[in-house]
Amino acid sequence: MQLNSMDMTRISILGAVCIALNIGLNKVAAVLQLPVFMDTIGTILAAALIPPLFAILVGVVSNLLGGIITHPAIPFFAGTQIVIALMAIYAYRRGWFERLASAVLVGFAIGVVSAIVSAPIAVLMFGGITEPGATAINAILMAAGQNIWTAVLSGTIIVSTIDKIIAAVIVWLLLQRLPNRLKLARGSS
Amino acid sequence: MSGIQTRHVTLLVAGTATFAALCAIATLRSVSLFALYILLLAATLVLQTRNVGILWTMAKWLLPFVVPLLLIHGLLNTAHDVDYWFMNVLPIRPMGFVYGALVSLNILLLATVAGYWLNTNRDDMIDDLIRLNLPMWSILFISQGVAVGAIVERRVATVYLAQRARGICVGPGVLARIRAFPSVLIPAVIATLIEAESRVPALVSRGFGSANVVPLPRKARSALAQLPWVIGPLFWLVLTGTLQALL
Repeated sequence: MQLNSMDMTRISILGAVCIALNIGLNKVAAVLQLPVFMDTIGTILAAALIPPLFAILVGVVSNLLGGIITHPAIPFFAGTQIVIALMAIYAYRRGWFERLASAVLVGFAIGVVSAIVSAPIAVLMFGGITEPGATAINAILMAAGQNIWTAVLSGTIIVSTIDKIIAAVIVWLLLQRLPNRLKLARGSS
Repeated sequence: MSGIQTRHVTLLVAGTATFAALCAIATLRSVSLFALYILLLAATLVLQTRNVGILWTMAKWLLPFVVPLLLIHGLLNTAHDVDYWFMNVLPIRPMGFVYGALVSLNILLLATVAGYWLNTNRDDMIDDLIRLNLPMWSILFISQGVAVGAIVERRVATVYLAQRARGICVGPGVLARIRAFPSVLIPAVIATLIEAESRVPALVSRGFGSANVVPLPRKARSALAQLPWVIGPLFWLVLTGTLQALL
Protein backbone atom coordinates (compact mmCIF):
# COMPACT_ATOMS: atom_id res chain seq x y z
CA MET A 1 0.00 0.00 0.00
CA GLN A 2 1.39 3.40 -1.04
CA LEU A 3 1.21 5.89 1.82
CA ASN A 4 1.08 9.63 1.18
CA SER A 5 2.45 12.23 3.58
CA MET A 6 -0.98 12.68 5.23
CA ASP A 7 -1.19 8.91 5.91
CA MET A 8 2.38 8.72 7.20
CA THR A 9 1.87 11.71 9.49
CA ARG A 10 -1.37 10.22 10.81
CA ILE A 11 0.32 6.85 11.44
CA SER A 12 3.28 8.54 13.13
CA ILE A 13 1.09 10.62 15.42
CA LEU A 14 -1.29 7.80 16.38
CA GLY A 15 1.68 5.42 16.83
CA ALA A 16 3.35 7.96 19.10
CA VAL A 17 0.17 8.24 21.18
CA CYS A 18 0.07 4.43 21.51
CA ILE A 19 3.70 4.45 22.68
CA ALA A 20 2.79 7.18 25.15
CA LEU A 21 -0.13 5.06 26.40
CA ASN A 22 2.18 2.10 27.01
CA ILE A 23 4.66 4.21 28.95
CA GLY A 24 2.20 6.57 30.66
CA LEU A 25 -0.37 3.98 31.77
CA ASN A 26 2.37 1.78 33.21
CA LYS A 27 3.30 4.66 35.47
CA VAL A 28 -0.37 5.45 36.22
CA ALA A 29 -0.98 1.82 37.26
CA ALA A 30 2.01 2.14 39.60
CA VAL A 31 0.63 5.40 41.05
CA LEU A 32 -2.81 3.83 41.60
CA GLN A 33 -1.01 0.86 43.23
CA LEU A 34 -2.65 -1.63 40.88
CA PRO A 35 -0.99 -5.07 40.88
CA VAL A 36 -0.77 -5.11 37.07
CA PHE A 37 1.63 -3.79 34.39
CA MET A 38 -0.78 -1.92 32.03
CA ASP A 39 2.08 -1.51 29.58
CA THR A 40 0.44 -3.15 26.56
CA ILE A 41 -2.80 -1.22 26.06
CA GLY A 42 -1.06 1.00 23.48
CA THR A 43 0.31 -2.01 21.58
CA ILE A 44 -3.06 -3.79 21.46
CA LEU A 45 -4.83 -0.55 20.49
CA ALA A 46 -2.23 0.15 17.78
CA ALA A 47 -3.29 -3.08 16.05
CA ALA A 48 -6.67 -1.44 15.45
CA LEU A 49 -5.45 2.04 14.52
CA ILE A 50 -2.31 1.72 12.39
CA PRO A 51 -0.86 -0.79 9.88
CA PRO A 52 0.67 -4.02 11.30
CA LEU A 53 4.36 -3.19 10.89
CA PHE A 54 3.89 0.10 12.73
CA ALA A 55 1.86 -1.61 15.45
CA ILE A 56 4.78 -3.98 16.06
CA LEU A 57 7.17 -1.00 16.14
CA VAL A 58 4.93 0.65 18.74
CA GLY A 59 5.60 -2.29 21.06
CA VAL A 60 9.34 -2.35 20.44
CA VAL A 61 9.88 1.41 20.71
CA SER A 62 7.70 1.55 23.86
CA ASN A 63 9.98 -0.92 25.60
CA LEU A 64 13.17 0.77 24.42
CA LEU A 65 11.95 4.15 25.67
CA GLY A 66 10.59 2.55 28.84
CA GLY A 67 14.17 1.47 29.54
CA ILE A 68 15.16 5.11 29.90
CA ILE A 69 11.96 6.53 31.40
CA THR A 70 10.62 3.77 33.65
CA HIS A 71 13.16 1.01 34.36
CA PRO A 72 16.25 -0.36 32.59
CA ALA A 73 14.85 -3.93 32.75
CA ILE A 74 11.98 -3.12 30.36
CA PRO A 75 13.86 -3.29 26.98
CA PHE A 76 14.61 -6.98 27.60
CA PHE A 77 10.89 -7.69 27.22
CA ALA A 78 10.66 -6.13 23.73
CA GLY A 79 10.22 -9.62 22.26
CA THR A 80 7.10 -10.07 24.38
CA GLN A 81 5.69 -6.85 22.92
CA ILE A 82 6.25 -8.17 19.39
CA VAL A 83 4.31 -11.35 20.23
CA ILE A 84 1.51 -9.30 21.82
CA ALA A 85 1.34 -7.02 18.76
CA LEU A 86 1.16 -10.00 16.37
CA MET A 87 -1.61 -11.64 18.40
CA ALA A 88 -3.55 -8.36 18.67
CA ILE A 89 -3.24 -7.72 14.92
CA TYR A 90 -4.58 -11.21 14.16
CA ALA A 91 -7.41 -10.83 16.70
CA TYR A 92 -8.45 -7.42 15.32
CA ARG A 93 -8.47 -8.72 11.76
CA ARG A 94 -10.66 -11.63 12.80
CA GLY A 95 -13.07 -9.18 14.46
CA TRP A 96 -12.48 -10.56 17.95
CA PHE A 97 -12.47 -7.11 19.52
CA GLU A 98 -16.07 -6.49 18.46
CA ARG A 99 -17.63 -8.45 21.35
CA LEU A 100 -16.71 -8.41 25.02
CA ALA A 101 -16.58 -12.20 25.39
CA SER A 102 -14.15 -12.70 22.51
CA ALA A 103 -12.05 -9.72 23.69
CA VAL A 104 -11.73 -11.38 27.11
CA LEU A 105 -10.62 -14.61 25.43
CA VAL A 106 -8.07 -12.70 23.34
CA GLY A 107 -6.75 -11.08 26.53
CA PHE A 108 -6.49 -14.48 28.18
CA ALA A 109 -4.59 -15.95 25.21
CA ILE A 110 -2.26 -12.97 25.00
CA GLY A 111 -1.64 -13.23 28.77
CA VAL A 112 -0.69 -16.90 28.65
CA VAL A 113 1.53 -16.57 25.56
CA SER A 114 3.26 -13.40 26.80
CA ALA A 115 3.96 -15.09 30.15
CA ILE A 116 5.56 -18.04 28.36
CA VAL A 117 7.72 -15.64 26.31
CA SER A 118 8.65 -13.46 29.32
CA ALA A 119 9.41 -16.17 31.87
CA PRO A 120 12.81 -17.23 30.46
CA ILE A 121 13.98 -13.59 30.43
CA ALA A 122 12.72 -13.09 34.00
CA VAL A 123 14.58 -16.19 35.19
CA LEU A 124 17.85 -15.91 33.26
CA MET A 125 18.32 -12.14 33.44
CA PHE A 126 16.52 -11.08 36.62
CA GLY A 127 16.53 -14.17 38.86
CA GLY A 128 12.74 -14.40 38.78
CA ILE A 129 12.07 -10.83 39.99
CA THR A 130 9.44 -8.98 37.95
CA GLU A 131 6.41 -6.86 38.84
CA PRO A 132 5.73 -6.91 42.65
CA GLY A 133 2.50 -8.97 42.40
CA ALA A 134 4.14 -11.69 40.28
CA THR A 135 7.30 -11.59 42.41
CA ALA A 136 5.25 -12.27 45.56
CA ILE A 137 3.62 -15.33 43.94
CA ASN A 138 7.03 -16.51 42.67
CA ALA A 139 8.48 -16.20 46.19
CA ILE A 140 5.64 -18.19 47.75
CA LEU A 141 5.99 -20.96 45.15
CA MET A 142 9.78 -21.12 45.55
CA ALA A 143 9.40 -21.29 49.34
CA ALA A 144 6.92 -24.13 48.81
CA GLY A 145 9.61 -26.12 47.02
CA GLN A 146 8.91 -25.36 43.35
CA ASN A 147 11.95 -24.77 41.17
CA ILE A 148 12.54 -21.25 39.85
CA TRP A 149 11.24 -22.03 36.34
CA THR A 150 7.92 -23.47 37.51
CA ALA A 151 7.50 -20.72 40.10
CA VAL A 152 8.20 -17.86 37.69
CA LEU A 153 6.09 -19.31 34.90
CA SER A 154 3.15 -19.89 37.27
CA GLY A 155 3.40 -16.45 38.89
CA THR A 156 3.80 -14.66 35.57
CA ILE A 157 0.89 -16.54 33.97
CA ILE A 158 -1.44 -15.56 36.84
CA VAL A 159 -0.51 -11.86 36.85
CA SER A 160 -0.03 -11.54 33.08
CA THR A 161 -3.40 -13.16 32.33
CA ILE A 162 -5.26 -10.77 34.64
CA ASP A 163 -3.27 -7.83 33.22
CA LYS A 164 -3.91 -8.70 29.58
CA ILE A 165 -7.62 -9.45 30.11
CA ILE A 166 -8.01 -5.99 31.68
CA ALA A 167 -6.00 -4.49 28.78
CA ALA A 168 -8.13 -6.27 26.17
CA VAL A 169 -11.39 -5.16 27.85
CA ILE A 170 -10.13 -1.57 27.97
CA VAL A 171 -9.21 -1.74 24.26
CA TRP A 172 -12.69 -3.18 23.53
CA LEU A 173 -14.25 -0.26 25.45
CA LEU A 174 -12.05 2.23 23.59
CA LEU A 175 -12.94 0.75 20.20
CA GLN A 176 -16.66 1.02 21.06
CA ARG A 177 -16.26 4.74 21.77
CA LEU A 178 -13.66 5.84 19.23
CA PRO A 179 -14.89 7.48 16.01
CA ASN A 180 -14.75 5.08 13.04
CA ARG A 181 -12.43 7.39 11.10
CA LEU A 182 -9.66 6.64 13.62
CA LYS A 183 -9.93 2.88 13.23
CA LEU A 184 -8.14 0.85 10.61
CA ALA A 185 -10.41 -0.94 8.14
CA ARG A 186 -10.19 -4.61 9.11
CA GLY A 187 -9.23 -5.75 5.63
CA SER A 188 -6.42 -3.23 5.13
CA SER A 189 -2.77 -4.31 5.15
CA MET B 1 23.95 22.38 43.80
CA SER B 2 27.53 23.56 43.88
CA GLY B 3 27.21 25.62 40.73
CA ILE B 4 28.61 22.84 38.56
CA GLN B 5 26.35 22.30 35.55
CA THR B 6 25.37 18.81 34.52
CA ARG B 7 26.81 17.88 31.13
CA HIS B 8 24.90 15.81 28.64
CA VAL B 9 25.92 12.50 27.13
CA THR B 10 25.83 12.29 23.34
CA LEU B 11 24.04 9.56 21.40
CA LEU B 12 27.43 8.13 20.34
CA VAL B 13 28.70 7.89 23.93
CA ALA B 14 25.46 6.27 25.18
CA GLY B 15 25.46 3.87 22.22
CA THR B 16 29.10 2.90 22.80
CA ALA B 17 28.47 2.36 26.53
CA THR B 18 25.49 0.10 25.69
CA PHE B 19 27.52 -1.92 23.19
CA ALA B 20 30.44 -2.28 25.63
CA ALA B 21 28.10 -3.31 28.47
CA LEU B 22 26.48 -6.03 26.35
CA CYS B 23 29.96 -7.29 25.41
CA ALA B 24 30.90 -7.29 29.12
CA ILE B 25 27.86 -9.42 29.99
CA ALA B 26 28.79 -11.85 27.22
CA THR B 27 32.54 -12.07 27.86
CA LEU B 28 33.48 -11.25 31.47
CA ARG B 29 33.22 -14.46 33.51
CA SER B 30 35.18 -13.30 36.57
CA VAL B 31 32.75 -11.81 39.10
CA SER B 32 35.29 -9.43 40.64
CA LEU B 33 36.38 -8.12 37.22
CA PHE B 34 32.75 -7.76 36.14
CA ALA B 35 32.10 -5.72 39.30
CA LEU B 36 35.23 -3.66 38.60
CA TYR B 37 34.01 -2.99 35.06
CA ILE B 38 30.65 -1.73 36.35
CA LEU B 39 32.42 0.49 38.87
CA LEU B 40 34.64 2.01 36.17
CA LEU B 41 31.69 2.52 33.81
CA ALA B 42 29.67 4.25 36.54
CA ALA B 43 32.64 6.42 37.54
CA THR B 44 33.11 7.46 33.90
CA LEU B 45 29.44 8.45 33.72
CA VAL B 46 29.67 10.55 36.89
CA LEU B 47 32.89 12.18 35.69
CA GLN B 48 31.46 13.00 32.30
CA THR B 49 28.09 14.33 33.45
CA ARG B 50 29.43 15.87 36.70
CA ASN B 51 26.18 14.59 38.16
CA VAL B 52 26.49 12.51 41.32
CA GLY B 53 22.67 12.50 41.56
CA ILE B 54 22.54 9.89 38.81
CA LEU B 55 23.85 7.37 41.36
CA TRP B 56 20.70 7.94 43.43
CA THR B 57 18.51 7.34 40.36
CA MET B 58 20.44 4.13 39.68
CA ALA B 59 19.94 3.05 43.29
CA LYS B 60 16.18 3.68 42.95
CA TRP B 61 16.13 1.40 39.90
CA LEU B 62 18.29 -1.19 41.58
CA LEU B 63 16.75 -1.57 45.04
CA PRO B 64 13.31 -2.93 43.99
CA PHE B 65 15.19 -5.78 42.31
CA VAL B 66 18.10 -6.37 44.68
CA VAL B 67 16.15 -6.51 47.96
CA PRO B 68 13.63 -9.15 46.73
CA LEU B 69 16.45 -11.04 44.96
CA LEU B 70 18.49 -11.40 48.15
CA LEU B 71 15.48 -12.13 50.36
CA ILE B 72 13.86 -14.67 48.02
CA HIS B 73 16.99 -16.60 47.10
CA GLY B 74 18.89 -16.12 50.37
CA LEU B 75 15.99 -17.06 52.63
CA LEU B 76 13.06 -18.63 50.77
CA ASN B 77 14.26 -20.49 47.67
CA THR B 78 14.41 -24.15 48.68
CA ALA B 79 16.67 -24.92 45.72
CA HIS B 80 19.55 -23.60 47.86
CA ASP B 81 20.62 -25.55 50.97
CA VAL B 82 20.12 -24.07 54.46
CA ASP B 83 23.47 -23.64 56.26
CA TYR B 84 22.04 -22.43 59.56
CA TRP B 85 18.92 -20.94 61.14
CA PHE B 86 18.93 -17.35 62.37
CA MET B 87 17.32 -17.28 65.85
CA ASN B 88 15.77 -20.65 64.96
CA VAL B 89 13.32 -18.82 62.69
CA LEU B 90 14.98 -17.70 59.47
CA PRO B 91 16.72 -20.22 57.21
CA ILE B 92 19.97 -18.75 55.88
CA ARG B 93 20.99 -20.00 52.42
CA PRO B 94 24.45 -18.57 51.60
CA MET B 95 24.47 -19.89 48.02
CA GLY B 96 21.13 -18.18 47.49
CA PHE B 97 22.64 -14.88 48.62
CA VAL B 98 25.56 -15.41 46.23
CA TYR B 99 23.14 -16.11 43.35
CA GLY B 100 21.11 -12.99 44.27
CA ALA B 101 24.27 -10.88 44.38
CA LEU B 102 25.40 -12.13 40.96
CA VAL B 103 22.06 -11.32 39.33
CA SER B 104 22.15 -7.93 41.09
CA LEU B 105 25.44 -7.16 39.34
CA ASN B 106 23.74 -7.65 35.95
CA ILE B 107 20.98 -5.28 36.98
CA LEU B 108 23.53 -2.76 38.27
CA LEU B 109 25.21 -2.79 34.86
CA LEU B 110 21.84 -2.22 33.16
CA ALA B 111 21.10 0.64 35.54
CA THR B 112 24.48 2.20 34.71
CA VAL B 113 23.80 1.98 30.97
CA ALA B 114 20.33 3.44 31.53
CA GLY B 115 22.07 6.26 33.41
CA TYR B 116 23.98 7.08 30.23
CA TRP B 117 20.75 7.23 28.21
CA LEU B 118 18.96 9.22 30.91
CA ASN B 119 21.67 11.87 30.70
CA THR B 120 21.37 12.16 26.93
CA ASN B 121 19.89 15.49 25.92
CA ARG B 122 16.61 14.63 24.17
CA ASP B 123 16.87 17.47 21.62
CA ASP B 124 20.44 16.51 20.74
CA MET B 125 19.38 12.87 20.46
CA ILE B 126 16.61 13.73 17.99
CA ASP B 127 19.10 15.86 16.04
CA ASP B 128 21.54 12.95 15.94
CA LEU B 129 18.78 10.62 14.72
CA ILE B 130 17.96 13.09 11.93
CA ARG B 131 21.66 13.19 11.01
CA LEU B 132 21.60 9.38 10.78
CA ASN B 133 18.96 9.81 8.03
CA LEU B 134 16.40 7.70 9.84
CA PRO B 135 12.88 7.94 8.35
CA MET B 136 10.99 10.91 9.75
CA TRP B 137 8.12 8.77 11.04
CA SER B 138 10.50 6.79 13.25
CA ILE B 139 11.90 9.98 14.75
CA LEU B 140 8.36 11.26 15.32
CA PHE B 141 7.51 7.95 17.02
CA ILE B 142 10.32 8.47 19.52
CA SER B 143 10.03 12.22 20.10
CA GLN B 144 6.23 12.33 20.31
CA GLY B 145 6.09 9.08 22.31
CA VAL B 146 8.11 10.71 25.07
CA ALA B 147 6.31 14.06 24.84
CA VAL B 148 2.76 12.65 24.76
CA GLY B 149 3.57 10.20 27.59
CA ALA B 150 3.80 13.07 30.04
CA ILE B 151 0.54 14.53 28.64
CA VAL B 152 -1.26 11.20 29.12
CA GLU B 153 -0.08 11.00 32.73
CA ARG B 154 -1.26 14.55 33.47
CA ARG B 155 -4.60 13.98 31.72
CA VAL B 156 -5.25 10.73 33.61
CA ALA B 157 -4.48 12.50 36.88
CA THR B 158 -6.95 15.29 35.97
CA VAL B 159 -9.71 12.86 34.99
CA TYR B 160 -9.02 10.85 38.18
CA LEU B 161 -9.64 13.95 40.30
CA ALA B 162 -12.71 14.89 38.23
CA GLN B 163 -14.24 11.41 38.62
CA ARG B 164 -13.60 11.50 42.35
CA ALA B 165 -15.35 14.87 42.50
CA ARG B 166 -18.32 13.30 40.65
CA GLY B 167 -18.53 10.66 43.38
CA ILE B 168 -17.14 7.71 41.41
CA CYS B 169 -15.59 5.29 43.88
CA VAL B 170 -11.86 5.10 43.19
CA GLY B 171 -10.85 3.31 46.40
CA PRO B 172 -9.88 2.27 48.95
CA GLY B 173 -9.02 -1.28 48.01
CA VAL B 174 -7.45 -2.82 44.92
CA LEU B 175 -10.81 -4.02 43.49
CA ALA B 176 -12.34 -0.55 43.72
CA ARG B 177 -9.28 0.95 42.01
CA ILE B 178 -9.39 -1.67 39.23
CA ARG B 179 -13.14 -1.05 38.74
CA ALA B 180 -12.52 2.71 38.59
CA PHE B 181 -9.60 2.37 36.16
CA PRO B 182 -11.73 2.32 32.93
CA SER B 183 -13.81 5.31 34.03
CA VAL B 184 -10.59 7.27 34.49
CA LEU B 185 -8.78 5.87 31.51
CA ILE B 186 -11.33 5.85 28.68
CA PRO B 187 -12.10 9.61 28.63
CA ALA B 188 -8.40 10.47 28.94
CA VAL B 189 -7.30 8.13 26.12
CA ILE B 190 -10.09 9.09 23.73
CA ALA B 191 -9.43 12.78 24.26
CA THR B 192 -5.70 12.25 23.65
CA LEU B 193 -6.28 10.25 20.43
CA ILE B 194 -8.80 12.71 18.98
CA GLU B 195 -6.56 15.66 19.85
CA ALA B 196 -3.56 13.90 18.30
CA GLU B 197 -5.46 13.18 15.09
CA SER B 198 -6.50 16.82 14.84
CA ARG B 199 -2.81 17.77 14.71
CA VAL B 200 -2.23 15.77 11.51
CA PRO B 201 -3.67 18.28 8.96
CA ALA B 202 -1.87 21.09 10.80
CA LEU B 203 1.47 19.27 10.48
CA VAL B 204 0.92 18.33 6.82
CA SER B 205 -0.13 21.88 5.91
CA ARG B 206 3.20 23.04 7.35
CA GLY B 207 5.04 20.71 4.97
CA PHE B 208 5.68 17.87 7.39
CA GLY B 209 6.52 14.63 5.58
CA SER B 210 6.91 16.22 2.14
CA ALA B 211 10.53 17.37 2.50
CA ASN B 212 13.69 16.30 4.25
CA VAL B 213 14.08 17.61 7.76
CA VAL B 214 17.24 19.51 8.48
CA PRO B 215 18.68 19.19 11.98
CA LEU B 216 18.87 22.34 14.04
CA PRO B 217 22.22 24.08 13.97
CA ARG B 218 23.83 23.53 17.33
CA LYS B 219 26.79 24.79 19.23
CA ALA B 220 29.99 23.45 17.80
CA ARG B 221 31.04 20.48 19.86
CA SER B 222 34.64 19.42 19.73
CA ALA B 223 34.83 15.83 18.52
CA LEU B 224 38.12 15.54 20.38
CA ALA B 225 36.43 16.49 23.67
CA GLN B 226 33.97 13.62 23.21
CA LEU B 227 36.65 11.09 22.37
CA PRO B 228 37.62 10.03 25.93
CA TRP B 229 33.97 9.42 26.83
CA VAL B 230 33.46 7.32 23.69
CA ILE B 231 36.67 5.36 24.23
CA GLY B 232 36.22 5.05 28.03
CA PRO B 233 33.63 2.21 28.13
CA LEU B 234 35.54 0.29 25.44
CA PHE B 235 38.89 0.83 27.15
CA TRP B 236 37.57 -0.47 30.50
CA LEU B 237 36.20 -3.52 28.70
CA VAL B 238 39.55 -4.25 27.06
CA LEU B 239 41.35 -3.67 30.38
CA THR B 240 39.12 -6.01 32.42
CA GLY B 241 39.07 -8.56 29.59
CA THR B 242 42.89 -8.54 29.46
CA LEU B 243 43.10 -8.93 33.27
CA GLN B 244 40.71 -11.87 33.02
CA ALA B 245 42.91 -13.51 30.41
CA LEU B 246 46.08 -12.93 32.43
CA LEU B 247 44.86 -13.93 35.91
